[in-house]
Amino acid sequence: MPQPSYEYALGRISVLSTHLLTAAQLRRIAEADSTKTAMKLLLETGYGENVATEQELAQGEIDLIIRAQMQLTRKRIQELTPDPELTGLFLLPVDTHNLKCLLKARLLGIQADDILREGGNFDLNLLKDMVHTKYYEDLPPIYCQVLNEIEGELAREADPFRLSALLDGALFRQAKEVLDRKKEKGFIREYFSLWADCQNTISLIRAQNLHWELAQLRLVLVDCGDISKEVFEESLDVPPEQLGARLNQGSHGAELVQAINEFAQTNELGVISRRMEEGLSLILRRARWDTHSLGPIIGYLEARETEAEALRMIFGAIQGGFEPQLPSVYA
Amino acid sequence: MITLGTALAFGGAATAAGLAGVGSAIGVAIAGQAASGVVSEDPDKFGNVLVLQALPGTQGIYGLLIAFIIILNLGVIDGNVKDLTTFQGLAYLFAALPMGLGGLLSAIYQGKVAASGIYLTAKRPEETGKGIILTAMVETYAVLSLLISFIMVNGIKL
Repeated sequence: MPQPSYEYALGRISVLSTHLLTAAQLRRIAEADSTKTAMKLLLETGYGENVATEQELAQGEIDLIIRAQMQLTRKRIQELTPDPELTGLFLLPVDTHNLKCLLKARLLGIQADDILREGGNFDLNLLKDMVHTKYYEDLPPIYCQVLNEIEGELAREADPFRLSALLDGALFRQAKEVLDRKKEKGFIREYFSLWADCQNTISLIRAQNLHWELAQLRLVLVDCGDISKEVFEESLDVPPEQLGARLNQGSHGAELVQAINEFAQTNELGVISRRMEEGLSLILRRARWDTHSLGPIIGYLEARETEAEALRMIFGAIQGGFEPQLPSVYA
Repeated sequence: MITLGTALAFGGAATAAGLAGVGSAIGVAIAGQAASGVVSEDPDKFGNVLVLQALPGTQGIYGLLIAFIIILNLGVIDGNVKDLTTFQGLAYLFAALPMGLGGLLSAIYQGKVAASGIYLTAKRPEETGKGIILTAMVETYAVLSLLISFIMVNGIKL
């Protein structure tokens, strides 16, 4: 019977983290001459924990095995965490993905089962029923309100961009609500505030490049950041070279300035995303050794996600016949 | 009717055994939860983590030892409880305090170090010995508490 204590959770995580793929194992897989050999080497490491069905294995689809492993990881995290609500914030992207898929699939009149992900906060069958019946009262109030708003708009006009933006906004509003209610001041708040600030910066630059109206920018700006949304709104007409000075606020100001300066030099928006990923990863890595926080648990989840990303890159590279670029943690 | 001094001496015995026992219970519980987590994923590590879980339990034994010496000196075991002066009773109470407080706190913190040692064992089973040594370091202060309480209790002339 799982016990809601940090000690129990960390004990389990300590063992589970020994099953993560090492850099050496990944390199060996990357050196395989075919995806079949790579798959064989991967399964020899115990990856997937035999959760993939024989049919999935026979298909040789790496994505099915990665998905099975990730679903197992998320379920395990939910089971062992002493604080399901805070841990659940890191699973909200899964719920947001599922809601987007289900709503868009309903609009297109198709099934979304193949692209849905298990292991989110909300039960997948429940979500399917809700989207089917358009009844969202069992979800947290923020999601319920946003989904009712979306349904109201869908009745008039289907706008996938607006749908995605509203659901992304709900993710950050939900995170802010939980963080405020639980008076969380540690690494989880730092993580979400950096994520929101970077996300808003990317949206602002995209808005400038695509000459969006202020209303369109407002739609994609998210809560939970250190920098208020008004600052981003007021910066819509600020030239890129002055953005750094304008956004040098809050606890992540210096990182944002560095990312914006790099963007100004390269004119590549991906630079900010990369800096954001590195920053988020660093926050989780710093918390990984805490003995009385969710750090090790979230760190394990992040490590599994990074591992999955590395595997996708390796298998893609083997199929495409080029050199894989592994995430920096495996360098 | 027992005297105030005798009652205070009983208080000393209760302090030593009670506080150190509570500390040990908390310390063993902390380490035990960590051990349960490890064993639930890898049952083969039970032997390794059991040693670490047991370490914070020693403070309770030290406390019991001091309490036992006090009640022996009071004559509780042979049925002839001595009447102590208030100062003699206070002396026993103060003599028991190092073991009570030292045992309480050292056991809790030893439990936390033991839990960390258990995580170390889970990740690197070959380093269990180092985890045990690190955990045993906290024991030093429980032993010092025991020593000073023992000397003080034995120094009280009835």
